[in-house]
Amino acid sequence: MYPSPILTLTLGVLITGVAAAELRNLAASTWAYLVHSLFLAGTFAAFAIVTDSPQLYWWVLAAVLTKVIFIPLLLRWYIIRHPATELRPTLGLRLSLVILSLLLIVFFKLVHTHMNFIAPTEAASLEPARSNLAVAFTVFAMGLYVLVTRRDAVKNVIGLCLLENGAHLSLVVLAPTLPGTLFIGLVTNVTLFVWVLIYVTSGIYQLLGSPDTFRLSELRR
Amino acid sequence: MAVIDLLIGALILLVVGAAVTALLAKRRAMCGYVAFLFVAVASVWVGVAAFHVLSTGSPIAGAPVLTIAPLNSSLVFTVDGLSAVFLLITSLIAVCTTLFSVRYMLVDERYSLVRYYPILLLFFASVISVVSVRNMLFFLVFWEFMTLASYVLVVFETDNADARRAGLQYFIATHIATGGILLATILLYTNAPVKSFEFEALLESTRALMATSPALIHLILALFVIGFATKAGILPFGFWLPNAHPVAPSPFSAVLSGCMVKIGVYGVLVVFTSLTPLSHFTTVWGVWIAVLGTVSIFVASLTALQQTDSKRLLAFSTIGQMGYIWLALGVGLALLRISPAVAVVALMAGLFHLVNHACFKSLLFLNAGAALYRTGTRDMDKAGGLMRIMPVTAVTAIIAALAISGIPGLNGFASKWLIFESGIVGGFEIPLLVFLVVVAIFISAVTLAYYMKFLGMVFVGKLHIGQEVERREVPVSMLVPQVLMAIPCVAFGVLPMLALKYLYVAANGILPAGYSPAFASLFGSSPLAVNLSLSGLRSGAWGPVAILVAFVGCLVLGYLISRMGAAQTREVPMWLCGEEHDFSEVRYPVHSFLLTFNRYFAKLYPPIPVPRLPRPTAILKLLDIDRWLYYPGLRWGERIIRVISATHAGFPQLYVLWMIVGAALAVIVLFSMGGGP
Amino acid sequence: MIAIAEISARDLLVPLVAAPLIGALLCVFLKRRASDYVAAIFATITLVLAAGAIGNLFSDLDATHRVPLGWLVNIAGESRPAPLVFELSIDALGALMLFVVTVIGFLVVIYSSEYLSPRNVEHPVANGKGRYYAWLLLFVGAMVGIALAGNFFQLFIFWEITTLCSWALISYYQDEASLRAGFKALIMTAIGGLFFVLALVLMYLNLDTDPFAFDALGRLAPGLRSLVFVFLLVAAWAKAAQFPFFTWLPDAMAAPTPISCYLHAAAMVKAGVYLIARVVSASYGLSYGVGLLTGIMALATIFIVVFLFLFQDDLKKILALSTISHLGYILIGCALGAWGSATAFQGGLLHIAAHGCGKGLLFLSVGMITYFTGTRRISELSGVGRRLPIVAVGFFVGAFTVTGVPPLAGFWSKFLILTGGLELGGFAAVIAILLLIESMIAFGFFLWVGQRVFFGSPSFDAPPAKAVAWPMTTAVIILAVLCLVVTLFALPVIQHIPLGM
Repeated sequence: MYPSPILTLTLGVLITGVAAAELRNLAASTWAYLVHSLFLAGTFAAFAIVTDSPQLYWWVLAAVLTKVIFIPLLLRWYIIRHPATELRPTLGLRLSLVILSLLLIVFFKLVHTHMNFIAPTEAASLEPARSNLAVAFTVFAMGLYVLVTRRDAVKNVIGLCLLENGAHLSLVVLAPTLPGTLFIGLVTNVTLFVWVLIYVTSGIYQLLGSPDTFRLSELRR
Repeated sequence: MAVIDLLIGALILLVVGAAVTALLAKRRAMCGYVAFLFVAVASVWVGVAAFHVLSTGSPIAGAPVLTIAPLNSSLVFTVDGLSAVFLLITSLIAVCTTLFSVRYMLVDERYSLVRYYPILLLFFASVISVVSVRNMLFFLVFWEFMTLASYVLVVFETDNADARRAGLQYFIATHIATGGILLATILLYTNAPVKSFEFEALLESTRALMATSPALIHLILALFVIGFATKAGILPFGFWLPNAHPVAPSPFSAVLSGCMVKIGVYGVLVVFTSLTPLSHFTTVWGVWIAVLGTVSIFVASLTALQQTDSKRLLAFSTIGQMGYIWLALGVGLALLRISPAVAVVALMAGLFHLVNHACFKSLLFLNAGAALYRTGTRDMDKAGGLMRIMPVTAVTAIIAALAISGIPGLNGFASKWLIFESGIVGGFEIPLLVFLVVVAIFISAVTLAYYMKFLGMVFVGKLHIGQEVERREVPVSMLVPQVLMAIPCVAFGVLPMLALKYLYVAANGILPAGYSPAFASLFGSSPLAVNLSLSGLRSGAWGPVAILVAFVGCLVLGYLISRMGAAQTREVPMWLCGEEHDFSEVRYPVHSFLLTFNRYFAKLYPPIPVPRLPRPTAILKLLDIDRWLYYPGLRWGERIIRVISATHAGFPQLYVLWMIVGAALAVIVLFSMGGGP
Repeated sequence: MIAIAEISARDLLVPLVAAPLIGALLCVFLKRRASDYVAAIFATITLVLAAGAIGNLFSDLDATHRVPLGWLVNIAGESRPAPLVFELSIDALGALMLFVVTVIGFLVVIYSSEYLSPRNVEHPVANGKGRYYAWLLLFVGAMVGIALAGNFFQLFIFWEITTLCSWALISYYQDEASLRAGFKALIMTAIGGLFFVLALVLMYLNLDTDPFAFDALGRLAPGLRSLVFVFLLVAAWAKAAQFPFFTWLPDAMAAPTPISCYLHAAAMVKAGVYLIARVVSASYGLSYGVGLLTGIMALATIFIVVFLFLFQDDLKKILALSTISHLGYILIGCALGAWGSATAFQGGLLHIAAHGCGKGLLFLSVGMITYFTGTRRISELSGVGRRLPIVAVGFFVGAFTVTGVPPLAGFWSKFLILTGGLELGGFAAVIAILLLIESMIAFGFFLWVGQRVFFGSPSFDAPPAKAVAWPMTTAVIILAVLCLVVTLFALPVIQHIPLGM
């Protein structure tokens, strides 16, 4: 049996992820995302120690640089120039919280139970890889949930980042031999697209007066 | 140099001549003379080669010129006795008609000569080739090229709607006939033990099929006979002929009647002598051929009586005379197995009549052409008495008309007499033949009647032409051909043995070796008279020389008597019962002679109206697949696409949702396929 | 310097495909006269290279010269050898197709230089020639590629390029009708192309080595072989405008006439029959059923079309419909070949060349009529022969070629098909006899049309631009001569095309 730090860290990933998704104040949400990313980097580090794979330290470095520093900076650059509260989402806060929690629990349970269908290797269906992979999928699902239910463009960007984080988290189990440089490439890519999206969002705001993605089709005119 | 090289040289010469005349087409007279030069040299060469074969009696063959390996066929030019006969008449007609054309074709400058001389030369080349190959594939190729070339010449006057219609009818009819021949040939080829189109290989195929499937052989022979009958103008298949012959330029009408329709006869002879072994099939089809010939004689001759157009009359007469040839061939083929002596005589009689007809019918078309050249009309009611201004033309026309009507002393009589003799003797074996021959004999009188009409209206009588017509004989270059063609008419009439000697070589050559009785035993040994003995009996004799001497003696005597009695002749106007009329008003026109005839026999050759096809709207709609299948299908597709496009509302969230739904579906499907949780 | 004699056919294949493509690229940037010259030069280069390649092949007609160019990367985890997909090759069948494609392509380019001009009465064209030549040369290049393709995959790539080119060229005038027609051609042939893809996928999945080689069908299991053949056949039907896909072709007459000529005589539609000829030539053991399907559908097409064209007044549409029926002839040659008749197969192949020359000639002649008169309705034309004698010669020679009057090329091909059919006997003989009947009907109709249009009193005044029409006249004369002599060149080559038995 593996020690529990990894599980603790991934629990932190989940909780801070929910906070990043549900906080209506964008600045607070960004801070939550920062913490979320820190937990993520921590998970990587824990895996590096546990599985004794030094190349994962590169991952940690890359995650800290991009996810903890650059992306929150980019988001902040946007937030200080625009209204601090997000647009009213399609669901109310309480309802949203309930649904998200249910979704996460159900999804985690589902993935965790049927891991042997997903896991490519024997090792992946064992703990802590098993739980970790389940968490990764759950974070991914959370990202999707944010994408579907939020109107605010910035919140959508955060959703996408969550989605990416879920994917990256799964990589540590699915492709642990991935060279550090490749991972750096991956996360740099994510940073770049966040930058582009932020830039586009501020453009949308200038044109429409709000970052409402529901009104995107008006841009066609 | 081998003799066959003369023939090949002549073919090359004709093709080169075609190219040269095509380049010279703008200079009309020069073009004509150059064409004549080429044709004359080529004809002499061909004539020499053919005469060589007829005098030595042995066929000549050259080396392969062209080989088509997939069909095991090579082009070898071969001349045997039979082809030599056709080559000789072709060369004679070629020389005469080309010379005749030179001045004739100068008149109408609307049409470019590039469609005349080059095609004419190619036509002669193809005719020469058709009769000198012994390979059915190349026979067909040259055969149909001959049709193509003749079509171009038939529609030479493209502004003339009749010419267009006749040309269309001609080419389509003969092309379909050729299709039949083609089919029959391939059927034989596919059953041949040795896959080849050579006559010998096809003969073996026929021999094999006769034992196994006689019905197929009957079908093949029927296709052959119908195909060649169409070309030869035998009714009911030769319906195109009376339309096509009149509309072609006159010299080419002469070629058509004198030369091309004869190739159909050549085809039939080839089929029954080279492609079919001697058997009861030959007998059966011989009788059919004789019947077809007699039908043509009967219908065409009686229809010719009703014609007012001189060239159309000649065309119907061609059908009638071809009928005589077919009758003779039919008699010959029917008896070939039963009574060889009679059969050989009948075949020779057919060939003899073929040669004679080539001479006098070409001559008649040239005569009609000369009259047309001078008067500008083919309508016999509008011209008359041309003998006064065109004596040479008229005399040759009279010779030809008398010859074709079978007046003793001219060649037509000699050949018809042989036909009748062999037919009646053959009647002892097959009684039907006697009936056919009797019909033919009686219709022979009709021939005389319509030629009297032709001569009477066009050449003799009072001169009856418009003021604008130049009153003199046609140019010398048009007279020479007419005189040239008249010579054999008289020569073969006076000395039939001259022709029979060579025709015997031709007929002997196509029959199995040692099959036919010796020449002397059939026709006697006197060169001046035909002493015919059939079935070992002396069946008849015809000594034209003696009779002619007596005939001329009587004429001289009559003249002497009239001179001695100092009989007077005087010219008086026509007596019109005292009434005074202009001659042209009371002139008795052609059709009046035969009003009764026309009334009773008009239905014999009814015009067949071409039905106009109704536009089958319903079927066309059904076949318009676009309308009922593709376009409705597209509209449905469009509807479905509209429904699908409603999901693209413009919210990014919605698209993500669809992706999730899609992914979920995919996962469910995958799980259910893999026997999931 | 390399002596000419040392160049082998292999060395010429890549330049042969490249030459027209380079020409096409250059023409994009050119206008008017400049594009005329460049297109003509590159068409000539292609023709010369093709002549070199074919001439080289004559030393050993049984040989196949291959130039492999590229392999497909295998999907990870597969242990089999990577399949060869990009490959040029030339053999007797390819040479036959190459001949038709380059010669007619060359003549069409020459012809177009005059046809697309302000002097054209029907469609005066002042500019836009660069675009025209670019697509046309691309088309030539793609067709050369089809002729030289070394396997099915390579063939498919060029096949789809021709679809694209035909779309662009049919819509060249960009009016309502031509846009619709171009789109229709694109859709129908692209749907056919999907079946080609299906066939390719099936081959790839079921064969470990050389899945796309031409002889791949012979190596499949019998049931699968028939299925793949049927997929290829459907693709060929769409391309060659056979029943039930023939409807795009008459509409495609909205294209400029030289394009119609190229589409119908040499390119687009011939690609379809070429595919089937390839399959039949290289495959062993095609079942009786697939031969029957090919034969019956071709026969149905022929008779439907012959019925349709009897009621058509538009000269070009008559030619289009006649094209469809002649492609049926070629397919019947292939079907009889699948049944084992080498004679009929050779006839079908010869018909590719014969029909190419004959129909090309007919289209170029009709193009000249519209160029000078502005109409192509039979009922509005008469006496054209008086004004344009060369056109009359061209039309009649072309008509007699396609309807099979000896000694023109069409006679020999039809004769071989007929002989093959009758040799096989049974249903094949019935097909052969029906073909003969169709041939007669078409002959009569074409003769009637020819007389109606070319004889009689002229319906229009003498053409003023006689002197400048030399590119068109030359093309017509060359094709007319080819109609006569093409058999002599093509037959020796065709004899060396094998028939899978």
